Amino acid sequence: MTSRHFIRKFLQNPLAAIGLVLIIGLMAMALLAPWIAPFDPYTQSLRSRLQPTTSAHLLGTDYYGRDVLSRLIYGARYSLSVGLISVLIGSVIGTTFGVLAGYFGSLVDRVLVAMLDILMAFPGMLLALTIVGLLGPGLFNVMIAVGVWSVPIFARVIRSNTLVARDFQFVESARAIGCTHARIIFKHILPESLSSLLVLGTLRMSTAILTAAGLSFLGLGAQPPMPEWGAILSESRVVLRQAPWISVYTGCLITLTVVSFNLVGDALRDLLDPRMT
Amino acid sequence: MLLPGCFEEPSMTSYIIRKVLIAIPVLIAVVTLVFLGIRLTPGDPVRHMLPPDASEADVTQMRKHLGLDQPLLQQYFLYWKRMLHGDLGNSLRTRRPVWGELASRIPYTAELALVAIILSALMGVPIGVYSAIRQNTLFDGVMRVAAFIGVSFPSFWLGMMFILLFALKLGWLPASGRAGPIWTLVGFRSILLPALTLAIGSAGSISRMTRSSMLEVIRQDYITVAKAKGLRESRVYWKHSLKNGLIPVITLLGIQFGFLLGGAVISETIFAWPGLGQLAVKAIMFRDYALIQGVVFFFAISIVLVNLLIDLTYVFIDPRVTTS
Repeated sequence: MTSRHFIRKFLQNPLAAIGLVLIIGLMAMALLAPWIAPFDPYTQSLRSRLQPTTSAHLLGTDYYGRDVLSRLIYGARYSLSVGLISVLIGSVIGTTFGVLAGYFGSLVDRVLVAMLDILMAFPGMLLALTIVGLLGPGLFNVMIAVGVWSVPIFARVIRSNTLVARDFQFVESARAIGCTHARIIFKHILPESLSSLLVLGTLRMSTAILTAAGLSFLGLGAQPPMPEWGAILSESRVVLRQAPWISVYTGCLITLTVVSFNLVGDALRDLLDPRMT
Repeated sequence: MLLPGCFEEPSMTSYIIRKVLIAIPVLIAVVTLVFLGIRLTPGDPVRHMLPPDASEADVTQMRKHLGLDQPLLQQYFLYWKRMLHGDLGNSLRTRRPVWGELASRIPYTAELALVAIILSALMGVPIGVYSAIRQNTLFDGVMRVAAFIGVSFPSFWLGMMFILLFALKLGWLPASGRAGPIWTLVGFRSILLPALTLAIGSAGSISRMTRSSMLEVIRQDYITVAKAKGLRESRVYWKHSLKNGLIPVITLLGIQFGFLLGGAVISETIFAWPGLGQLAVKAIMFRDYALIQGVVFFFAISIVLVNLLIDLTYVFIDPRVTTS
């Protein structure tokens, strides 16, 4: 499939196109935050506390009089980068494990698969919680926790791709002319898994953003006054009765982000790797 | 050619023993990982347990008291010895035995998880079956979209919205806390919102799985035969198809149990439910390592046991699994 053909097919799916536009919008929001946010997300104004929508504050203000819209715009920076970094951690380690297990087989495979099975036996949120428990609360540790949770998921898919690619004729030829293992893996085996990585990475982004926001909501991730979405939601809990709009807007934004990544991920899967579930 | 029945079938006992034997290494691995995790992560746990102005002598004494000055391997054996005697140590914050802290909260999390799993099965299974019977109708379409959104929904936000609507706006249900035992009216009312928050996400997965599993079953020959014999349609679907269609759903219920324990952490925090999840969050915040260790160990045991129970349930639903 040529890239132009691929893009056309992808955009023919209206849900995927909507998801993609939303993701681009969210990323633009994160990148342009200093220019598009009407206020500084940290500046407090005790005189204008808990105001509903006004012409100055489109989404109202929070308990400390901070502009909710500005905090949500800046929050996109934290929430999206937490998702991205933890998916990177998971995909790099997972791909390494998967390729090693699939390519070398025998003992390496058995040991790695046993380790991954144990990780998989633990439900994601509990695993993430355990890792944060060991490392201590904080946004960086949340990224590691969510990343580690993704490791077995990436490893399993890449391992099965490698098992198939290992027996391709061009890989056998490369081996026959004396290519090193590293060259075979990087030049011939890994490119076969790129589409799976793209699909899985997109789908994991939504889980990562959701889990990281959940951990911050519990007070174990981003700490106040950082405008991370989960942390904003956690702070809004105290004023749920007086200022329900803060939690309504923040929750809608998180859901919208997760749905966007799921829509794009599902569409990519249908196009690139329909066997993967 | 071997005739059916000529194989020597592995007995149910050997199947059960095999399943138990597989569960043991997982438990050992979890205990070992948590043990190593606490000792090998950067930062001295003893420093976190003591006030910031503690002297070096205090730190050394505390380390000795906890046995952390001994070689790692020796600590590991001591740790197992204590654990096998049911001694999980004392909470570093409250100084009370970890086992006691856990035991006082287990019933609350158990009742929450149980009500949630019943609610999710009550919502998910009928929706899934009905979607399969009425495949590609409006109902099916709406339910599939709802399941998609249900999976993408942040449960912590859902809980807050439930409080906003049912407790603060309508005043139908209490906003937080456990008002009493579940069999009393106040107790039942207080468990509804936390359990529903937990159940929604699982219900989405259960309905999707029931739908696809039922779609496979209702296309099989014996269903056609049952229909041809003139059995009532509802009897064919709800009795004959459902029994076989439920096998994958039962596996999913097992997986969901793990998710529910994870979700319970969030639901219990939002609704101030006095269970293990709330205890876990507090333990992590205060870096109460003994308690973290205990909670993780308990979660691991319960997940392994539930998976075992699910494996054994198959035997009764589909006795062929013992031969596979």
